[in-house]
Amino acid sequence: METVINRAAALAAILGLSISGEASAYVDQTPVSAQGPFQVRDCPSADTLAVPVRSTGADIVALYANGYQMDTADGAPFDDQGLDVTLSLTNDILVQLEAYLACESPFLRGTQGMLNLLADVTEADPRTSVVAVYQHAWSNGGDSLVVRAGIESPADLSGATIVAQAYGPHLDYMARVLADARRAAEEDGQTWQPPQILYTTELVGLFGDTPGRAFLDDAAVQAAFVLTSDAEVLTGGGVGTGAEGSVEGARTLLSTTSANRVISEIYAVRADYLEANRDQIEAFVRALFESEETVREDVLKLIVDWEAVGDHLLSDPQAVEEARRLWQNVETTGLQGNVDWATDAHPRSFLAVNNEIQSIFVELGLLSTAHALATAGWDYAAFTGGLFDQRRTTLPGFDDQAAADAVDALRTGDQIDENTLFEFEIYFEPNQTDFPPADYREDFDQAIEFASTYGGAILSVEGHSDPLRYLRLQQDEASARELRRVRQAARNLSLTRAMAVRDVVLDVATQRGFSLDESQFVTAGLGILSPATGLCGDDPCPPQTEAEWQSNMRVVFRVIQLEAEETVFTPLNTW
Amino acid sequence: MRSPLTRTRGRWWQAALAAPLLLAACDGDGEGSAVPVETADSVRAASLAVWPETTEAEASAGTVTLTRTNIVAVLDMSGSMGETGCSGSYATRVGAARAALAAWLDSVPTEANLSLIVFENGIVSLRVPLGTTNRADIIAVVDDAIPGGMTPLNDAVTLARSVLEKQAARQRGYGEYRIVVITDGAHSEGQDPASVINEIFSNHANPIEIHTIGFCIEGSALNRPGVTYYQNADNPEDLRAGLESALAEADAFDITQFAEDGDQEGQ
Repeated sequence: METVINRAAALAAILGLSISGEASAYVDQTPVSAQGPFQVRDCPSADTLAVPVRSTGADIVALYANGYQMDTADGAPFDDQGLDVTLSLTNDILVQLEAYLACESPFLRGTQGMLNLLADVTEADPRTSVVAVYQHAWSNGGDSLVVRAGIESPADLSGATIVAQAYGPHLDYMARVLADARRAAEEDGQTWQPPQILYTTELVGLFGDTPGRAFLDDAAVQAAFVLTSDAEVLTGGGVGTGAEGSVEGARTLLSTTSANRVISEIYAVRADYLEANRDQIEAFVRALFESEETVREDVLKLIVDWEAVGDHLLSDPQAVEEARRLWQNVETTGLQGNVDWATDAHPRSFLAVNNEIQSIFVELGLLSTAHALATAGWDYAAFTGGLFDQRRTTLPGFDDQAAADAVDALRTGDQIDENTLFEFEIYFEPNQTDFPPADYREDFDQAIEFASTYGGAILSVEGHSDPLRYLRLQQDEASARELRRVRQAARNLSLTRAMAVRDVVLDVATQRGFSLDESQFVTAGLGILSPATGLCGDDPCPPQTEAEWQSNMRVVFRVIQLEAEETVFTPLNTW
Repeated sequence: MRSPLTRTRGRWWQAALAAPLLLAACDGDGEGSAVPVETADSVRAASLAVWPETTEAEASAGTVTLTRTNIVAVLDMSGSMGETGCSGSYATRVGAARAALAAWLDSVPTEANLSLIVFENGIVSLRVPLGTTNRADIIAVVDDAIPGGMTPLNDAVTLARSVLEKQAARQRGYGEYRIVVITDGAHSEGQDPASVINEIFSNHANPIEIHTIGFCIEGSALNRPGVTYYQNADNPEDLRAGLESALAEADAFDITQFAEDGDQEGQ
C-alpha cells in the first residue's frame, strides 16, 4: 500500500501540487465573481488555436487528435482538418478562466460543474458567454465519495461534515449526491440538515491540502470527495482497518462507477469566437469525433502511445500505468452521446445537468443566480454522416448473472435498503399482472431519470404475491403437494408482475425518445417469501386487514448501487 | 382473542439464499431416498432448499418464457400393458392408454412445453423432446408403440425428472413442471420409482408434480395420496382437472382466524 501512497504523492508532484506532508487547511470557496475584477479582451485573429487539456482520460482524445504532441503533428487528425492546435495542460479552472477572458484561448475545458461555477463571470459579458460544443466523456469510476463508519447510506449525510476541493471537478458530483440524499432522507421521514462543506485547495493525493488528507487527519470530517485512487488507499480497497494509510471503518459510499452520468467532461468556447470562427470550431469537433473512435479502437489494439499520454497529461513519460488508468476511469461519449447530450429532453442532457448543478450552486452561494448556458445547436449526426458509433447503443453493460448474484447477496446480508438509491412500489389486484401505468407515471419518470444518471447501478424489479390463500390451505390441512403447488404459482405470479413492470419502464423510456440498457435490470419473483406483512415463525404472517392483504400484492422497483462489484458492470469503453 | 403476531421482514429467508452450502454439508452420504416425504410444508422449509441446482443467466434465458409450463409424459409400453383388466371398454390397457392420452392432449395448452418418454421392450427413451409444436409427433409415437418387455419405471421417471430440471435451469426455476405417467404400475425388479419420487418430494423447493394415469394401481409410489395425483385411465376428465394451474392468491379478503402457532419469530 505504501507504493500506492508514493504513487499518489508522485502524481501530486507531477501536477505541481503541494506534497508538504502537512495536514490540509480549509479554504473558503467564495463565488468566482468575488475574485474579480476580470479583464475581458476581444479575440485577436490567430493562426494557432490554443486549447487547454486536463489530466483526465477524456483528454487522451485531444492529445491523439494532435498526434500525441502538444503542437499539431503532420498528418494528425487536427492537421487533417486544417487546424494548427497548441495544447496546454491546465487543470486549474481559474487559470483557464483568466486565459479565456483574455482570449489567450477561446476554450474552457472542464466538468459542467466547473463551467457553471464560472457562469457569473462568463455570462456577464456577451463576448465570453459560454457555448458548449462537445461532450468529451462521463466520469466512470474515477471519482469516489468515501465515508467514515456511521454513514451507511446517502441519507446519513444529513448534517454531516463533508470535504471537497474548492472549484474542483467534484462539485457537480457533490451537488447530485446531496440532492438525492436529501430526497431519500425526507422520504424516510427524516428532517434534512444541510451538511457542512469544507474545501481544500488541491485534489490529488493524500498529502497537502487535499480532501483525502483532510479525511485522514480530521476525525470531524465524515465524508470526502476524492479520486478513486485515493479512495482505495483510504478504504484499503474495502473497509479501512487503520493500517497502511487507511482510515478505520472507512468505505466508499458511492462512486462514479454507479453514478456514471453525473460528472460530465466538456469543451466550451467563447460566443464571440464561435461566431467569427464557426467553421474552425466545427472542424475541431469533427476531429475530436474521429479521434474518439480511433482511440477506443487503439486501446483494444494496444497501440496507444501511453508514454506520450503520461508525458503530456501527467508530465511524466514513466507514468504509463497512471495514464492507462485515466482512460479506464472515463466513458467517452462519442457521437451518440453528444446527440443525447444536446437533446434537451434527454434526462442527462447538457441542459438537465446544468439545471441540477445550478440549483445547488445557488443554494450554496456559489452562484448569484441561475444562468442559461448555450450549446452550439448543431446536428451532431450530420458531422460524420451518422456512419459510426451505432453499436454503442445496443451493447449490454451488465453481466446478468453477476448482477443477479450481487442483488441476492445484498438480500442475504440485509443490505439492500442501505444500497438503494431510489425505490417505489406498484400494487396489483389478486392473481393479476396488469396495472394502470398512468397511476405511476411520476414514479416511472423518476426511475428513468435515476437509471440514466446511475448507469452503473442495477435496476432491481422484485415481484411479490400475497400468502393468504396458501395460509388458508395450510390451516385447512391441505396436503404438502397442494401447498407447494400454490407456492410455486405465487412465485410465477410475482415474476410475471415484475416482468410487466420492467416492460412498462422500458416502454416509457422508449416513448420519451431514448433507450435504457436492458441488461441493467434484474428481475425476480419472490412469491410469498417476503410479504409486506412480514414473517411469523416459519410462514408469512396472515394479513389482518384488507389494506394489508393488498399491500402484499406488489412489485418493488429499486435503483441499487454496487460499489464493490467491479465484475458486474462493464464500461462501454472496453468494447 | 388472538394475540398480535410478531412480524419481521427478512431474517430466515435471507439466510436461505446461502442454502446450497448448508445442504451440501448435510448430504454427506448421498442416498437421500430415506427422507420422509410427508413432512409439513412451510415457506421456510421451501426457502432453505434449492431447486434447480443451477440456473442460467438472465441473458441466455432472454428467449425463454420463464413461467412456461413443462410436462413430460411417460408412457408404459411394457408387456403387461397389452393385457386386459382395468381397461374399461377397451380390449387392452394400451388401447385405453392411447385413448386417455389423446383425450388429454387436446386439453394441454398450446403454449405448454410437452415431451414424451416411452419404455418399450425394456428400453427407456426420450422419443419427443420438450416443445410446443410437437403434438402430432407425440400422437404418432403413441400410435406406433407396441407393448412388450420389462417395466423400468424408475429409469423412466428419473429421465423425466432430468428433462424437467434441465429446462428449469433455463427458466431459473420459475414455471410449472409435471410428469404424467401412464402405467399399470407393475414395475420390474429394481425399478420401483419410490426412491426418485421421494427425492423429488423431500426437496421442498422442487415443484415437480407427479400425475399418474393408472390401471387399478394400488400400493405403488405412483398412487400415493398427498404426494402424487392419481386418476384412473378410464377417466381422462379427472386428469384434465388435475393439471389445471393452481390459483396463487385468494380472490377476496375476509377475516380469517388462524391458529396460534406459538412459533412466532422475535423482532
